[in-house]
Amino acid sequence: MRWLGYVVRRLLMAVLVLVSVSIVTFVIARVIPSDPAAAWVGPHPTPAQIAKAREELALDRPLYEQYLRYVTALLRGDFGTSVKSHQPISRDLRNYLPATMELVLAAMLVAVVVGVPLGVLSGARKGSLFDHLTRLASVAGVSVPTFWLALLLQLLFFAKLRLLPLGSRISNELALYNPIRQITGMYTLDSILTGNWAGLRDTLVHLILPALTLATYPIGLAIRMTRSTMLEVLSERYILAARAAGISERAILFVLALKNAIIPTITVLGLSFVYSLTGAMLVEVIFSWPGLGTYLTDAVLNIDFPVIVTVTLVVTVFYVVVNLILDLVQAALDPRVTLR
Amino acid sequence: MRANRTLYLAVALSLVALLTVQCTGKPQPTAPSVTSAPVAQPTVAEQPTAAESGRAGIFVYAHGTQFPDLDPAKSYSNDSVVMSNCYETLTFYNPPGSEEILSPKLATSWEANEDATEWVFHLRQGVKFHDGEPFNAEAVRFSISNTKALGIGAAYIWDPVEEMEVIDDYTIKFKLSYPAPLDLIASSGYAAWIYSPKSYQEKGSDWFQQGHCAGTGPYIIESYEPGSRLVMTRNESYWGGWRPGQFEKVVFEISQDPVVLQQKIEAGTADFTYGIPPDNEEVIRNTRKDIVVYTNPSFQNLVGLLNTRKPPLDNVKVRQALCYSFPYEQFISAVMGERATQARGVVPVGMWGHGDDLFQYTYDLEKAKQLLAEAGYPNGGFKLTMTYSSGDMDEQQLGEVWKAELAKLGIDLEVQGMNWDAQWQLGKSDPLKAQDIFVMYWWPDYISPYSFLYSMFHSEDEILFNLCYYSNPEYDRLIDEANEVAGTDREKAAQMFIDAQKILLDDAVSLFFYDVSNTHLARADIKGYVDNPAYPHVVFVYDLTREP
Repeated sequence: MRWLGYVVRRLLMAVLVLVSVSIVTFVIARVIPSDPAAAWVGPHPTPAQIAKAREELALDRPLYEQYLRYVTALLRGDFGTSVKSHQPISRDLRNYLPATMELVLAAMLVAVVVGVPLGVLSGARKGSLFDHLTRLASVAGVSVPTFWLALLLQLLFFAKLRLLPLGSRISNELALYNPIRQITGMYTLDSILTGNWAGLRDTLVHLILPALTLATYPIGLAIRMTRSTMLEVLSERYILAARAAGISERAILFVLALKNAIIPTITVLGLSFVYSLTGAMLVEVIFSWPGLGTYLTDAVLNIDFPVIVTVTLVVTVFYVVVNLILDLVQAALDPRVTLR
Repeated sequence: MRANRTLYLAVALSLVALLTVQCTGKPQPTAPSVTSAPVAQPTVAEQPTAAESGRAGIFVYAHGTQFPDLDPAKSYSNDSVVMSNCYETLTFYNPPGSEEILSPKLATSWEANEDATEWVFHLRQGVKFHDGEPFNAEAVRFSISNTKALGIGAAYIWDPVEEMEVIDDYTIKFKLSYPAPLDLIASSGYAAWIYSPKSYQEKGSDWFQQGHCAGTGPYIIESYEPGSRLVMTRNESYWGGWRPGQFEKVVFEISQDPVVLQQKIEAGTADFTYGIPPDNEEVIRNTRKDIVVYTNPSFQNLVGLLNTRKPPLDNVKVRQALCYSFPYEQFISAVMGERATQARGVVPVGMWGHGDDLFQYTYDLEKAKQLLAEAGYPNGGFKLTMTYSSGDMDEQQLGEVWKAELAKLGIDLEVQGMNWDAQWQLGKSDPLKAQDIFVMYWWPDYISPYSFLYSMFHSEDEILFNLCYYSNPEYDRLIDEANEVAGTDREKAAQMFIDAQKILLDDAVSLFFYDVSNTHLARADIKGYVDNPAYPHVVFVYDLTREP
């Protein structure tokens, strides 16, 4: 039962965090010199239109009242309306969030599958050529600018080799003749659920380049973290004991050592997952991926304050939840960690 | 440590090698865009033509921005590229060079009374909306009154309309509260769409925004994935009928990265695009036979509104000196290339009311010096602030070039890039504390010189877009009168608008830097494309065919 109390306490804290984040973003977004009423009307508004919009949007009310209105609506599940597009933000989120989730999850999967084993082997063979190459790869992974890599991959795989598409989530042909029926908004999942195998193939083909680009950074992270903790763990005496007991090297590395070495890696990958939700903006733009990053960037450029506040809140929720999960996973994996 | 050093050397070498691979070949122009560092080389690989790849009947438009609002009553943005293919207006503004300014669309003919306060439109018969409802006078009345009542976007263009009377199914009469050119207003690419009353009332704005349409146009929205793609299909019962060779489907693909747009048109996966890095446009123009680069004057221009209230620019001589201090020709040839022509007056070239013989300020520092001396500033000695919309590379370069020129006159120009909202808020504040020079683009909603001459220069009680804070009753009267006769005697109105521009040029209330030209790229097998600056970036796909 110690878990339950812990989770409740953490969730209560989370509410506090959310309230503060919403106040800060709301105030910042509203004190920047801008006129949301004019933006609501359009590029060439008349004074009469602005006055009408100001009243309709309650922008003539004091700031604290506007905030309260916003929050009460939020509690009712109403995320507000975009000033620029006049669309309910909840609908936009339903479009953009799954797209980003699909991309980021794919990238994280690649990072774990590629990064962790490389880190383990690199740690196990410290000083070997393999270790040097892997470390080189990890440095490159975290330092190569994603937009540069993205363009390079496009040039190679689209323009020269004609192997992979330039961007977007599915091809025009699929959209025209075999569209994916949307259930979750994650096309890989939706095409499996609806048995649209052509759709699955098309989606995966479109995922490769953006997911690979987005994965380079977490791959680098995973290699470095896993390698350094592996080095530490491998010098422990229980490993020596295991070796003495004749347990196979593979089992030692990937079961005994990795179980203790994986925790920091999971933590950094978890945080980089949340960061990527909006931080994948450049990758999204270059691969024409309709995601949360581009959505937020557009909103910031247009000072579309309801969107800015809402997206910030959504990402904060993810941060809080992912952090909580990470802590719980840590506790599950490592009995020395106590939940307080 | 030795091993480490060897390692770093290896890293450095491989990076250099990678970069060399990137940079060999022809030197490529760099583009002024964050994400466009490596410029895609023209691909020479064998490419399947659109016809071979089985999409002969599909027109693909690679578009650089999203479509914010697809509600025909509210849309006032780039979404007009979609709207223009599924909705229609009563009248149509013809491309420059046509004999008549307007041609019939949903209205077949129209007439006004002598003072242009009553208009009667005769409507096309046998037209149906996409939802099967008949197009008639009642639909026109509903669309316009609904758009007007919502008051969003360009809805203000209908401001003069006081009353609409349905005379019979195919005749509608407008009573105006003041004289106005309603035939021009009805041709607007924003807020003038006629849509089905039934769909709008039953399904509401939301349904339209989710990617549906109920207009009379040749194409119907079939599916929409916000932020990525919109697909349209033929309206089989279109009143204009269908000829062989016209496109079956239209796909708008959204890609925000200009280099990606370029790759798409180069690879032939898209048929049409715009907004790729300007230097690359030139490369394509000169090296590619399979892509046609269209450059045409737009109805958009760049102005530098001078603060006529705040010293020293409250002195007309100082303002005139500024007008002589900008190197128009040099800037356009060095920076803008084909993308601009020096403006002559306020109304852009190609639009009615543009004065071919209007006075044009030229770059003449001697004259500027002399005017400054006459104004009491023989060696300059003052500071000015110019604001522009940050992120616009052209405006920024313009500011830097101008700063250098003004320094020669002893004037210190502070060039300040601001977010548009912030720039505009400052402009709308107290003129005595606001900027000295406000640089911005203007473009019209419906095609009339009045949009330019009224919005930016007519006296305003509350500052909106008259950001030179100019107030001249004689000028106001002239353009108001011109707008009143515009509905009945367009030639006379044009002359009056030209006269009004003379006043602005004499008073030197603004610099008119240049008229912007738009560049569009189309695959060479696309035939029938005509740029129409009244409907910016719109492709009327109905007019096109693919002919290898």
